[in-house]
Amino acid sequence: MSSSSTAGNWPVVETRRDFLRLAALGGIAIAGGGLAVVSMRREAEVAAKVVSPGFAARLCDIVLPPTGTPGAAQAGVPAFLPEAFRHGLFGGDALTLGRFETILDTKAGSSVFMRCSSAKQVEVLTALDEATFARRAPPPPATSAANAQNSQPGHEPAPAEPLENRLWRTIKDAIVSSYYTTEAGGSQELTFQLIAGDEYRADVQLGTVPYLSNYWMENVF
Amino acid sequence: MTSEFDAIVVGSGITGGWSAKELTEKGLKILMIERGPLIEHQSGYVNEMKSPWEMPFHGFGDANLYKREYFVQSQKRMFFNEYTQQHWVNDKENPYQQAPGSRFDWFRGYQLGGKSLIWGRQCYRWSDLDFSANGRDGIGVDWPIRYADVAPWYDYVENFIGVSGSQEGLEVLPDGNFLPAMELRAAEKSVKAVIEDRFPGRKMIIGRSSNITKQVGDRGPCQYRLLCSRGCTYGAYFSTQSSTLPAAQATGLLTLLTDTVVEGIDHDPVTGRATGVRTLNTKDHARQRFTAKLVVMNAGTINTNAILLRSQSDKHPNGFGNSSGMLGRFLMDHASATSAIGIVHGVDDRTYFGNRPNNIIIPRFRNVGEDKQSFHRGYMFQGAASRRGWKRGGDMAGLGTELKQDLEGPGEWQLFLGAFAECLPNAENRVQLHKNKTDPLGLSQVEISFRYGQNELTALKDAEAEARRMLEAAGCTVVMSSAEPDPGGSSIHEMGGARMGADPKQSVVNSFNQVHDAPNVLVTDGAAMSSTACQNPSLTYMALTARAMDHAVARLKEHAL
Repeated sequence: MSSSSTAGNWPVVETRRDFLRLAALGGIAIAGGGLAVVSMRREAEVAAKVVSPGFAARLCDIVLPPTGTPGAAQAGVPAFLPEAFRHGLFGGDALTLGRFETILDTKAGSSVFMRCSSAKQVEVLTALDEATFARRAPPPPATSAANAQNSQPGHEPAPAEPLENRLWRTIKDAIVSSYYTTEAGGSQELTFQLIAGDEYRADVQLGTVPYLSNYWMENVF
Repeated sequence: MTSEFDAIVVGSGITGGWSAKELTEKGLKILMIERGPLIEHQSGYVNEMKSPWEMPFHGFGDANLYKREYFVQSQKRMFFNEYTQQHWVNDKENPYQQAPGSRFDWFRGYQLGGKSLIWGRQCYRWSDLDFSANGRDGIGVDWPIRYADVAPWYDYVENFIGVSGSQEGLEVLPDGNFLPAMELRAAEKSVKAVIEDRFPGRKMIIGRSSNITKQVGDRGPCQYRLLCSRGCTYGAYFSTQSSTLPAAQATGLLTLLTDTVVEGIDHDPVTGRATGVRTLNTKDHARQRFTAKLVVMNAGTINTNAILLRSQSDKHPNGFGNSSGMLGRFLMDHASATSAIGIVHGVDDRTYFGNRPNNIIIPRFRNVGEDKQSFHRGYMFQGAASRRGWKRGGDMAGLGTELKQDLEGPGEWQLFLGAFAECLPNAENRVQLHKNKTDPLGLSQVEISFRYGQNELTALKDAEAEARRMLEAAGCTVVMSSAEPDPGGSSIHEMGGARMGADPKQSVVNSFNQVHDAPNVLVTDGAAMSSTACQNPSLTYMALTARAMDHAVARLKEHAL
């Protein structure tokens, strides 16, 4: 048995047969080089499109734009993101950006996301951002917090977070984490000082010392 | 290279380094054998000074590689990362088995210095409450020693390694010879004041750490970088490389052999006493034998057990020194949980500068004095307050210039309290050799059986409730709490298997860490522990090691070993 449907407004594939049919209709590209592959998970999956040139850079610009210092795009994050996701960082994978662009295309109305005006792109992403972070992320299943929650009597596991929110959490975290660990984000936008030495202070008035990007524990890296 | 030595030290971690130092300084010719590669102090710390942008994955590491090959080690996210991954074992290349239905995460560092390079550096004395606990409760075997036996050796060790901390006068946590204590942060001061006012008998104090706050010998003071697990060029925390190895090498009596695993202990077939060890080179698989009058087992709790279990013969049919049948049994690890996390209010105008490589603790208060609980023993809290960093930007609404401006400064204060609960000895928690699975070197894989008991679970429930009570009393907003124990092994305080006791029928080593069945073999790492207390154990390992070496050399000089 197989079925295809829509969830939200984007094409959903639930079996490999549907995936191939959609591909044949031009909805997605399949080719060498890992352009678009859909995993056969139980949950509805969104087809990953070939990521448009400039898509990652546009997301970076919207999240962390240039101000007096370089933004995420100028800091090199767009080049790092696909590589990071290919290696599983931030909970992403090789399809993360392509799937997210598919989702944004469906939200963009009559056009695809990358052909929308800047204002429209910001509007689409702002709405998704607000919806996503209106609630806390479910704890990862391996944590003791999640185990404790799941072991409560009568507890029913929360429904999985919708894919669009999950993908946005992943991508936004990746942009932020990548940016503040670049030289521009880490040492120009913020201050990077590997050795505190005699300047170390345990308890000082806020604003009297620089704020460091290399607070390892605070940023869990 | 000669194959004859006065003593062989198996392992180069925290206790191996101490054994080598003490024995060489007492004039013995020593061979120290380390299964992992050489890492030189300073020049071997290849990522120590690197910035995130100098790392291929910005310091986060290749997550897919970690899933494939570092699936256990990479769970220690505050210690394991792209800068430090070479200080942890590759799980795929170093397999072990977990008994059906049980779980034990085995964290390991196979290199010169072992886990001394990557440890948490917390140093606590045990008290008589701890050394007398087994005997008092009738659980496990009574320690044949008490605090008074170890106290001079705690002094000795602390004076050499340097421990920063505060004098508190607590019976449950004896004071030592401390370097100046690190200062608490504003949110910690605020919560401490409430706890000590509202909860009589409880204290929140700065951790006692081997991060030194003043020069100690050639070792410089801590620079507040929190790069410790990368290796520290300043030598500002205790490790084999920074502290004991230079002392041993200075004697000219130390021979160091790396990339070599000990297959087993050789022994005299008549007396059963050790005559040396047989080894296997991990690179070219060459086998060698070395002889000595004394063999010291410092391979780390589980590997020490494994080597003893592998050393079977007609004289030691169930493993070396196992006439009691106790070898491998009573494996323990502190039961840990993130008891509670709270947002601390009222100190948003305060912050800090630099990375403090230390935490706060709330020493044990359960089953102390008049306090009586339904569970045995107790727990201690360790934790810290910090202000959320830029990472919060990936977990909150906001985009663009506004988000960037929000992240220009610190976020809210959070204080977490994690519990270490004492783990009661249980004979069914044990290390065995798997019957047919071998590792890439052809050695039998270890199989670990481990489950926490009801006592640990009850203690962690109490810890969660008390953590909430204290944080709420301090006006914190508790955002998370848990009594769910982390998997066994998560504390990296594995102990037992060759427990100390007075009765050779009930224990593996005597009060001076000598194997009952072969007194010229000493076990002085975590394997010799008969209970866990709730304090971090490394300082006690060091003190017991120095004490055991002193005794062994005295016996050697009397020709009585």
